[in-house]
Amino acid sequence: MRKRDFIAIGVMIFVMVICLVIMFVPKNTGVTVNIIYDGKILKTMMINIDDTYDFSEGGQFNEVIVRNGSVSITDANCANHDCIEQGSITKAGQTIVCLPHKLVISITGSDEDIDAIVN
Amino acid sequence: MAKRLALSSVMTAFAIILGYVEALIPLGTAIPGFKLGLANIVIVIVLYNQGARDALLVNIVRVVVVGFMFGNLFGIMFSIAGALVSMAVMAVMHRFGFNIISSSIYGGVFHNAAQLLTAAFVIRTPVIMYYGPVLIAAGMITGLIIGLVATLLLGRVKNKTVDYIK
Repeated sequence: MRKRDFIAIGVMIFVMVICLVIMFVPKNTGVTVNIIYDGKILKTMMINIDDTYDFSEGGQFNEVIVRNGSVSITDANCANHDCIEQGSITKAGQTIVCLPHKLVISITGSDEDIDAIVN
Repeated sequence: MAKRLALSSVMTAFAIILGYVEALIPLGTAIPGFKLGLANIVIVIVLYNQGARDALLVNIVRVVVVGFMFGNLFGIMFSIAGALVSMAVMAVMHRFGFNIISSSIYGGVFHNAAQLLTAAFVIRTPVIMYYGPVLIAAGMITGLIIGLVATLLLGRVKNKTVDYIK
């Protein structure tokens, strides 16, 4: 270990602390659920109203379910099913991603403007 | 030259086997895209043993072979983005005399950062930057583990390979 290595690792420890702080800052309660496909919002749902949305685009399929204040993808025809295995989300800022289908489920809080998030 | 080619080939095979072992461990479920990066043990060893050119070659062959054997074209795109960016960062750090552990940590972090940016580009939404802190922290930890393992390994194989090829 030389001086430069201590500096390099020190910088990383600092970055790590910042990451941990961001990760553990309490998140706001979710209000709306946004279904975003290829950068555009397809549908917005309320998280406290039980609902189902069947995403279907060019043979791609994902079933999004809102139940008891949490959102999950329960069925999909993508290759890896990562979206199903990501489980359910409840808080503002959380997302479920289905990369092969370019599909994102994102929760926003009350004081956020979804247009600012999606650009 | 022939010895160097032979050693690179053996290292490529080693990296591919580690890629297979990695494909057997289902880690990317809780955090999408999370991987141990076992093959990077080989890449850093080649980088510090044989230099950046050999490491780049081994890395590219590994990504393509492992991608076609255990993944798909879509996954290869992410693997290449991560591998090239982390390779570049580690090569620069190696050039400036940083040790394996430092290089490996930065390699892990930049690998994950590059993949996250690729993902944001593919789905055309920056909301997935939500995963940034988790993936950066994960890259740091896996990079540290990989760097420690590579240091131990290099200490043991050094006398047998480095002197042999020179």
